[in-house]
Amino acid sequence: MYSEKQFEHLFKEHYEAMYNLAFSMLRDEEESRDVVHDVFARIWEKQPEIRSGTERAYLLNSVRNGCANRIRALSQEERLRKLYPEEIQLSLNAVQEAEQLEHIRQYMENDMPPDTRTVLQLCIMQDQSYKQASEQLQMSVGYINKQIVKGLRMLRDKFNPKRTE
Amino acid sequence: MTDNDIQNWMNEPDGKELYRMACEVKRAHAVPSAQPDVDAEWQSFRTRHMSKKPATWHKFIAVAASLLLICGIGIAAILPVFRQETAQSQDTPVTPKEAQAQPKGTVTVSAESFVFHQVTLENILNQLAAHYHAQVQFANPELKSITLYVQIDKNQTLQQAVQFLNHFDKVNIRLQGDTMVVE
Repeated sequence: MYSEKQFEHLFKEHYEAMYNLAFSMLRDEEESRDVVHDVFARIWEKQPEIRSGTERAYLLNSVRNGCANRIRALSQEERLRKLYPEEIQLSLNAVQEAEQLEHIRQYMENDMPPDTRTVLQLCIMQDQSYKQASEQLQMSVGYINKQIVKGLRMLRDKFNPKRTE
Repeated sequence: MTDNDIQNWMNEPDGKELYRMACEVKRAHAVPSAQPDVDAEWQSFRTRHMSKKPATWHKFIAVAASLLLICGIGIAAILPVFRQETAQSQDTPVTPKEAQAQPKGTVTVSAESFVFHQVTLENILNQLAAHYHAQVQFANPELKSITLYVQIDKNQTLQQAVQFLNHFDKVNIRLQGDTMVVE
């Protein structure tokens, strides 16, 4: 059972990591804040037994579940447009997942051919259409699509090599 | 990307995996424009969610409340017993608490008063008779053995004392000159 002081400590220590995780999934500041507050509100109300030392994993997993519920509530089209995952991978815990995301960032920065990286940046990270990107980069739409597929495959082979479907 | 753009590579044989990877790339680079102000968030959280005490608090209050209720029922059950014995007048308040504090069957005599605790009526009246230089006569001998808890102010007149004792349902004393007649 958390005293108010302990609870405040828990809140302040983990808030930022939880918020960043939520934001990485939802890409919306207000929604992310809501998810994190919901997690803390439930803990304060229900006072679950959280084994000492596992608080971070517990909190991050709760955030992930909260986000997954929100994503699940959206329509298929909306999920696709926002590049929300079809399902939340449960093979990784939230802490490992955060590490993997960091590795993806580093790999793109350091090991990816510049053209491929630039295209991924414009189209995926900045939500530009193929057409916009082709104008900006003076490349054909076909080439852009090729770079996207190539880049995603590189990442897939690097980070999810065993997955076959 | 437009839906059409996405469809372009979703149609590849490994399209699903590519989509999943695209989601991860998107996630990996999603960084909020500003880091949250944790102290401000804490304050806002506190005011919104923490006026409610946690569940264990509720339980504690519920337990305390039911204990109180049980005590209340207990007292309510005990009270009528005393009520009969302590039909109080205003000048000699007697509370059940005082009654419980004293052992049964005792007479406490002070300069101001008699306190009879679960004492037989016969005994009480004999003591009063001695104090007021009066006589006692039991027209109804059965009443000799009833016990009462009663406090009598010594400064009262015999008449007042008798009147006071007559507040008890079972007690009916008539003053005949210097004689208390119990009927």
